[in-house]
Amino acid sequence: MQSKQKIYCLLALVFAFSLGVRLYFAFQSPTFTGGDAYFTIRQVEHIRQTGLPIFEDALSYGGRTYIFPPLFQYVLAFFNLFLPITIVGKLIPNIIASSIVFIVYLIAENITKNRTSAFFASVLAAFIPIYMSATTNTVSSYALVLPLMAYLVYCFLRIEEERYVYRYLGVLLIMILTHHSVVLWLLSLIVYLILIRLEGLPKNRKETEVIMFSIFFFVWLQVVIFKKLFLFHGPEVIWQNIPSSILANYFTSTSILTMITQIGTIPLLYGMYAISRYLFAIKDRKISLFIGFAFTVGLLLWFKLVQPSLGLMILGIVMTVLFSLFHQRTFDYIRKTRFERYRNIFFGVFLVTITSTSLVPALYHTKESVHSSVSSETMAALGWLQENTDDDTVILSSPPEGHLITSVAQRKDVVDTNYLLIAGIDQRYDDVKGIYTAHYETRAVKLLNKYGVNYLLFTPVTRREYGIEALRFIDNARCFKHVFGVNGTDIYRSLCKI
Amino acid sequence: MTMRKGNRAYQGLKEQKLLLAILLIGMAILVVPYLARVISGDTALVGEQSYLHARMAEYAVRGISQDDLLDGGRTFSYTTYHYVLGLRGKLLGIEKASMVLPAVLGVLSLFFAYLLLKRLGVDGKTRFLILLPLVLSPAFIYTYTVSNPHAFAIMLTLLGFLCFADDERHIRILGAVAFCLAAFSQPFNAALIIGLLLIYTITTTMRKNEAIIIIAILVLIVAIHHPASFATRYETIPGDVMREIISDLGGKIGFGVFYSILTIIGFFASWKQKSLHVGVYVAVAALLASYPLLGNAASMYLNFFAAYFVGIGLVRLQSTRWEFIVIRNLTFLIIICGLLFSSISYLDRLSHAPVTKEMGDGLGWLAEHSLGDETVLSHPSYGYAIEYLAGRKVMLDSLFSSIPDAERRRLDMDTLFYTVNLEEAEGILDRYDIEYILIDKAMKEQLVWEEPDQGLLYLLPGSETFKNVYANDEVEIWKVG
Repeated sequence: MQSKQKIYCLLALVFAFSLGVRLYFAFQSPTFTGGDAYFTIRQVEHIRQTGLPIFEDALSYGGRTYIFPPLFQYVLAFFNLFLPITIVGKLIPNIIASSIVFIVYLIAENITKNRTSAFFASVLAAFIPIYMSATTNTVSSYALVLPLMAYLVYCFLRIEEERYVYRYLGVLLIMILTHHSVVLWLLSLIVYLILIRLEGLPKNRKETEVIMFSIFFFVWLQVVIFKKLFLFHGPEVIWQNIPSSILANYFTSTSILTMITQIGTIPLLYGMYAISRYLFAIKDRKISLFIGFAFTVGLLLWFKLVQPSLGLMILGIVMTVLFSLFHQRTFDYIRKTRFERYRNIFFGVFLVTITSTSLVPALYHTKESVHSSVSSETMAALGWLQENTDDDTVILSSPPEGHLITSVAQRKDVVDTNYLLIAGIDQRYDDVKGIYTAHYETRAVKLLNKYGVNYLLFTPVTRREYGIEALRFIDNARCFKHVFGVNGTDIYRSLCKI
Repeated sequence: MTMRKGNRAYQGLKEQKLLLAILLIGMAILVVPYLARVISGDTALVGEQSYLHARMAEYAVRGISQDDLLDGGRTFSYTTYHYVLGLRGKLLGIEKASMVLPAVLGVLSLFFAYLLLKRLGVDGKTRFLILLPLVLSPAFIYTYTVSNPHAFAIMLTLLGFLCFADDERHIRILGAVAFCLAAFSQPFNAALIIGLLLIYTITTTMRKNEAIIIIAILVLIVAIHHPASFATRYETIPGDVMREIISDLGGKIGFGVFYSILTIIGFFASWKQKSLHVGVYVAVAALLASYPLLGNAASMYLNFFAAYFVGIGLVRLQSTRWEFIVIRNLTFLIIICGLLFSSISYLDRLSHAPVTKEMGDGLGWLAEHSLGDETVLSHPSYGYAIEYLAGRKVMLDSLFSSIPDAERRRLDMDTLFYTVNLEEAEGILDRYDIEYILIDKAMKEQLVWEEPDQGLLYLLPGSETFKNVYANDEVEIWKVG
């Protein structure tokens, strides 16, 4: 077990198994989960065709500006040169996401110097429930962000070696161009410096230099790239202009129970134990880095300043790394006691526990995620809209389906889930809700006229979103014509003007 | 001996070049906003308050204190700056003087700041690293581009301290005169000078008697000249302080992100010699505390202290032994890029700031087609421009402290902007005799409304009470029937 080659073979097997499971689930559905996946796909296709992402979009909100770091879309666009987009969207993010196995192994091996513990940490990392469910069928940039962030941590752990400094700088640049979540890493580094000072550990000049550079570099690129966003929203940009009526639910408070089910019981409990032990009893520079990371993300989750899914994914990986420490200590301890002869039984119990608390929830959540992918009825409705409406037609949908309108039907939407740079978003969001929940035709028609809506899409997602069974105002064939309907997915044409 | 003399001469020459370079950079930067406007065919003054001070300067030299261009009237309280601007205006014309004078004051302030730092024993490198970021800072650019009395008061305060620290008695008397002229601006300026004088005499234990005499004179000036307000706010104070302090987040008189980070680094670096810097800490704390009174204008004063910390921060970063030379070089490159980016971005914003050419055209139309005593409704931040360029009364402008019933007017204005009840709107329009409504693109895009048919925007096209009499790409004017 201890030989290097054997471990690498096992790691390759875990990678292949993780990828196999992911692809099995991903290909269960012909569609993707969530509207954001279709936003990415639209951007990827546009990059492949023109070489540039859509920054000025004539369809979303009837015309708006996007500002986002586009590296993930470029990576997918590269593969889209050889493979169809559906295959790219299902295959590439899963391959990248599964690579976390190797990186977590490297980190855990670096801090424990024990290959077995590192191996088990990497197994757990592959099956963190929230990570698996959020990156399997969603074409999410998190699939690239998390492995990159983990590699950034690994490079930082080896910052004394010059080649890792250059790797660190390269990965930092790639991360900044992929997702804004690198800010969590930088905040963690600040907390790490404070922890080092509080614990009285000696200063490491190289680390301080790299941290300072990282902060300056990040701030500069953010100011350059997102200048327009900062000027438009000011400090409130942190809340991404999310309508106030959904803000409370968007940054939902994260309970311990949610954390247990989404991260996995064993890594969470063992990780927390490791934090308490290393925080109060043992002083260790490397572990302080992970404690700082866990502390920062935990605090941001507590104050609802980070998206729960992202926070939990990072926390999951941090806890998995910390778990390796506990694994090492536990089995070392057992070896020294009279329970040594029951070592295999302990190991068996350990495997069963891991399987039941990490693997099973991971499979369950991933299955749920794939089940909630866009239904074939909705795709048929979108296809109908594309074929039977004019290019400048405005279609109303609930925000989660907005990107489907622009990406699949290729028509203008009224609202989608990218709220940045949209003025009066609260009013718009409330108006859309007001249309779907209207009791009277006059109110609905007035609001539909306000946004120049030609068609309404009414799906099971809309029903769930607004807690309604049917559109109450549609009883007048003069104002609303039912033009499409399959299994609870309907399209109505709006005909009246007030 | 000869060699030491030669070194000193070389050092002197180097310092002269350094000073010249900073003054030239300062001048070049302060010219950019107007130059950019002139190139795009726009000769309007930059900034809301430029128009108020241009009008106040004209009134001041003509001896008029009553302002009739606000519905209900008010009395102006002039500062030294208004008289100086008015007198220069007689030579150049008031608008040209409003463009030139702030830039001249900016260069003079830089010159005095350089000499003051030298007199206080700050070495050449640190002086350069303090003044260069200062010149590039958005708060400095605003202070010395947009015509405002604080620019003059800051220059006088710097001159005052430069002279006060001199060994020659007659030069110190000149310093006292500068302090007195600065104190004529606002009681706040007198308080600031008194505070700084106290800090200086306590920390250096020098010239206590002279300081006491100057303080007594300043108190007397305040008692005679300013019986009422402590600090006048010439612009609307935004609710979001964080946004106003950081220029990269949209702040009008703010600091760049890199400037702020370097200030924090410099602050911590200075902590090692905290007894030396205690005076600066007290001054910074006092200026931060003055934000509620002075509004964002406090940043103009705070900027000079922030620049000091920026300089210390840069010296600290530069003098630290770096393990990775590549990281050091990249860090400094990014710092330079960051400081430059904030400045360039701000200069661009300032050169496109109101009043735009379209607004100028709209106000020109209003001046020609409306009667002299008619009142115009618009956003308070356009009040000064309407009064100056169109010569018409407004319901409300940003000089709230001079308007006795400003709060009621503001409430009425809000009601008028957001009501969809025509009768209610007509009632308010009648109360203030409003004949014209001026709306621009910015008002429709979040300055007032967020929706295209919100409040008054809903009433305007659908009612016979209002008639659209003028429109260009940005501005529309409605006549109240």
